[in-house]
Amino acid sequence: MKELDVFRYLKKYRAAIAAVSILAGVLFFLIAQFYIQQYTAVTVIEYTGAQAEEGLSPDGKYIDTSEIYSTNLVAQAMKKLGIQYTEATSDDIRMNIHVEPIITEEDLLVQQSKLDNGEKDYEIIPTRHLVTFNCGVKAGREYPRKILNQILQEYASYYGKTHVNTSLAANPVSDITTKGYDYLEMAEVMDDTLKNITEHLSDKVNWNSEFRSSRTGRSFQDLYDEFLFIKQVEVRQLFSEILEGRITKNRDLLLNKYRNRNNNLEISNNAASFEIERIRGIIGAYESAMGEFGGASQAVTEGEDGETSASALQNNVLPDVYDDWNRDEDGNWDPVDRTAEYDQLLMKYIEDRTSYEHNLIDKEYNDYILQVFAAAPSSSSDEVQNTTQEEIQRLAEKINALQMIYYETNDEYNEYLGAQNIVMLSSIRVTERFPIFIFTILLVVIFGALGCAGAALFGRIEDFIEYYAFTNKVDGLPNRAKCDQFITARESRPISENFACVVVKLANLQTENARLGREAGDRMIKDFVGVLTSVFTPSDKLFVGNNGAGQYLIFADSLEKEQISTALMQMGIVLEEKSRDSGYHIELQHGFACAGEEECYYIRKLLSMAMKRVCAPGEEKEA
Amino acid sequence: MILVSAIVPVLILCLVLSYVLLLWRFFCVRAKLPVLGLRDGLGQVKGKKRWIALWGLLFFLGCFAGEMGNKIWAPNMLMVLNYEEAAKGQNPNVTRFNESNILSDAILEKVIARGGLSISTDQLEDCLTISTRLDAEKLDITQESDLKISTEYWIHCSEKVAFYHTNPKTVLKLLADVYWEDFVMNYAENDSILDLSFDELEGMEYLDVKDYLQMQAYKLKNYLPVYSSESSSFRASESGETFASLSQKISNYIDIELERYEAFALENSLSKNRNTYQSRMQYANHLLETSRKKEMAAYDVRIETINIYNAFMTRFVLIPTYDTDKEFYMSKTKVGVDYFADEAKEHLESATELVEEMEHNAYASDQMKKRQPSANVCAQADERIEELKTELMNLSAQCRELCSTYVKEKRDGYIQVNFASSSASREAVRALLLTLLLVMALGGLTILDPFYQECRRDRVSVPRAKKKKTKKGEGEEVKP
Repeated sequence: MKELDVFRYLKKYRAAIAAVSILAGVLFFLIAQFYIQQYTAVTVIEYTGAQAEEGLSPDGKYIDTSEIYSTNLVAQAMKKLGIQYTEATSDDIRMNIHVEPIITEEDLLVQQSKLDNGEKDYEIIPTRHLVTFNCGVKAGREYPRKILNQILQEYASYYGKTHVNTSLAANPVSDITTKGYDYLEMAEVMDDTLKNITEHLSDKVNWNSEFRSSRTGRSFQDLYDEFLFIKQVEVRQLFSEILEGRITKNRDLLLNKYRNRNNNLEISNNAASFEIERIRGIIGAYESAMGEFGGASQAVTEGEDGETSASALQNNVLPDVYDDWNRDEDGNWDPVDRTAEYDQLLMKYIEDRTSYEHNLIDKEYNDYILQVFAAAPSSSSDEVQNTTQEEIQRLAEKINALQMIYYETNDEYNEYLGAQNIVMLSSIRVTERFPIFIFTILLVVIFGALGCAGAALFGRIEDFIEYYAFTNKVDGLPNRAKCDQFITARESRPISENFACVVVKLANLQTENARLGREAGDRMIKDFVGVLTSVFTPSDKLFVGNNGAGQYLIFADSLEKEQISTALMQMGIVLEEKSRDSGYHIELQHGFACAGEEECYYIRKLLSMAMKRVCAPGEEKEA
Repeated sequence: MILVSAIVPVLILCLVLSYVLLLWRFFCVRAKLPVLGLRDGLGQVKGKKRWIALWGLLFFLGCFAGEMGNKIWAPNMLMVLNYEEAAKGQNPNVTRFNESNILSDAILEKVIARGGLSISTDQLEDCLTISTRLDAEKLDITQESDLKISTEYWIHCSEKVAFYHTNPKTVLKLLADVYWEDFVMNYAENDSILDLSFDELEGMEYLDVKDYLQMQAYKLKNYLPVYSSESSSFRASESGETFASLSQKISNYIDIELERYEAFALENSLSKNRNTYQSRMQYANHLLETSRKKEMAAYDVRIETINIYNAFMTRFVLIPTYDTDKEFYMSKTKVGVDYFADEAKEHLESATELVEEMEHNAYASDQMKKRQPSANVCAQADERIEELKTELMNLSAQCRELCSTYVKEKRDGYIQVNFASSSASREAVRALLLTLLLVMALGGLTILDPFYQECRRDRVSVPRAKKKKTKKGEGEEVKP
């Protein structure tokens, strides 16, 4: 059997190993690139609000980064980008967005230092976060950038709207003319609306007087001035016209309403005066009680050390003054109210008394309206009503138009606040998530290594099979079955011009066996085969086999007639020398045929020719 | 022109095929190759050097022309954001900058409409890509220096747009124009507030005209402070105007010219409709009186509370501290009455303001009663209003000019657009390298050619010989 030589196997299967490895690599690359690869859009954001380092947003609520991928924001982003649910669902996107806090080594060192110094409850509150979005490559490289950009855009606006700029005045004027209100009521609604809006705008001017919208060109101050002008000039003009002309749709209904208002105010004042009286009672009782407690305490302290002032105050000092926050039933944290009970009582007293006085003043105003409309016709003329209705309609449209500008300005202000409180530290970068090319190279290398191991194993198994099934045990050459296999593999196609077939036969093997014994015969065969294979060395291009009938077949892909003759002659000389040394005699017979020479291009025919020519040396037969 | 973009890929394909052919022939003839006998082959190359040089030259010219033509026909476009907020990832109005908006559906729809392109938004979107230099860098969050904001964006338009009867450069130009307009409209400085309208003055009361013009003048005045705080020393080169000087001019307009007009109107009892105006003033005062009473009631209640506040119920502590001049000052802890006193003060202030306004209204109302204004006075007032309008328009124009000059200098158009220019020398080097590869392949083929021809002859002779043999009818098969 052949010796174990791994390199022989590798050499034999190198093409297959390389082909399989490269094919596997190509297949993996294609599959991975189109089905496994993902694009990753990544950016870094930082919360920069005044309380961000405490983990709080400007409205005092804890910063919740999961808001970035909340359903409503993702749905809004999808709607803005025109992404249909057939392309991607909200959850597809949400599940692939990740927000991770960035904790640097410096942060960890600071934390360690604080913990070492006894601040056991110190925790790192990162303000920087890494936001990533992964998606497949089918939709293209631009898709993840677009999605992440839009979601962050929505988030910035949402953050500004929800956590910074939370108030926005309502606009009940939008459909006022369709409600069936009386003209005075409509004017009152307008006046209240404008009062509300101007108060909101006044607050916004105080917060940020420099903000100016790029879309509307307005600042909050401009809007405030415009609303105020309408309120002070146009709405008042409307009021005066209604009151002057006593314009009404239904006088009785209007008067009843104002009378009812007065009744309600009276009822409210009765209740308020009752409460005021009781609060005064509580205040008096509280003062008395506190005086007694103070006196008792004073007496005790005077008895002990004679110092009175500090102990007299002790009942009025609140405990837990260092606690800043209280947690309510819902788990929300509220600032601790340290107002003294006595002050709270007085505040309640002020609230009730003020309400009582205001009710009296409102009643006076209602009486004024009742007085004005007492002399009014039950219903104003159609002409007057139409004129007033048109005027109200015009004013309502004007307020609505201005209100829309206010909303648009406010939307941009929310975006502005979002960008102010959530700063982008890095542009969105889109990269491939997996290094497919490196993986492919690794795969090719692994397949190559596995192929080499497989080739060694398979080659060795093949050696075993070759030895037990296709090798003649005596001479170690391929046996008849192998010869048949070799010929069968080539019989269906023409052989090349230089192909040659040589048949060699030991003519006196039986005689020598009988004469010298079987062992000497075997030795003779081995010597012969040794010489034969040294002259016709088996290789990819030269096959040497034993056909089992005492004939040795040699097939060469490229061998000239002269080369064969020389080789056979050389073989004869060597065998003769060997015979002399070994004591046996070898009688050699051979024949050969060359395809080009014989113009025979089929292996079986060529072999047949060679066999026919087998004869002793010097007795060559002619074809 | 799309064929121009196909030249280089086709030539590269030819190059690859020539190498495949070379390898194929090498494996075919390797058995016949003499180990040390390549001199003859080199001799073959020398014999065909003109032929190889000609092919090399043609290939070089093809590559160079194809690459240059493609770069000129379908260049990449660079958008550079010029304003300072861009480095923070923000728009000029300090909202978040979103580069994906460049290729948003709304922008692409406008591009298609403006260019009259016969392409859908989705198709156009597929042809356009945006990238930054940072895309090539992996983000390392541990490195502070790695956190960068890109202010340059490369936009590439695929040659595929040629199938829709347009070309990449046209599309990119349209895109740049449309995006710039959209950007300026949505994120840039908006001076539309300076577009003053006086339509509402029609039929307006003379005294209301003053309030209206004052409101408009304040719009101009409020527009300036942002720029004034950004660059107080900025001066228009032509007029020499500064933000501060212009602001002062507007103040003068309000304090002097409008005041004079108001005095004129009051003195001459100017009113379009005296009764209506008086009625309005009366109603206004009625409302103001109601508010004043409420303020005073709130004030009285707080004073009453302070009076009933039992001194025994509270103590304060004196705290040594500094005043605003950094002098020692003895302050004290606040107690309930301090808050009540503050509130009472605020209510009193509000009531006082209301009283002042009521007095003003009453005065105006009284003035209207005095006389019926003559037509001449009314004409004078109308003339004065026209002058005030003209003056305000003039101030508005000055504001616009000054701010535009400042914005132009500071923002430099917000976005600069450049098309990538192709470097002839670089393309020539690239083409030369490809040509070198081709020449090597052709040289190899030339060397192998005689061996390959021989091999082919051998193969061809087999079927011929077989044919001959078949005609003779010879042949006998023997089993081994």
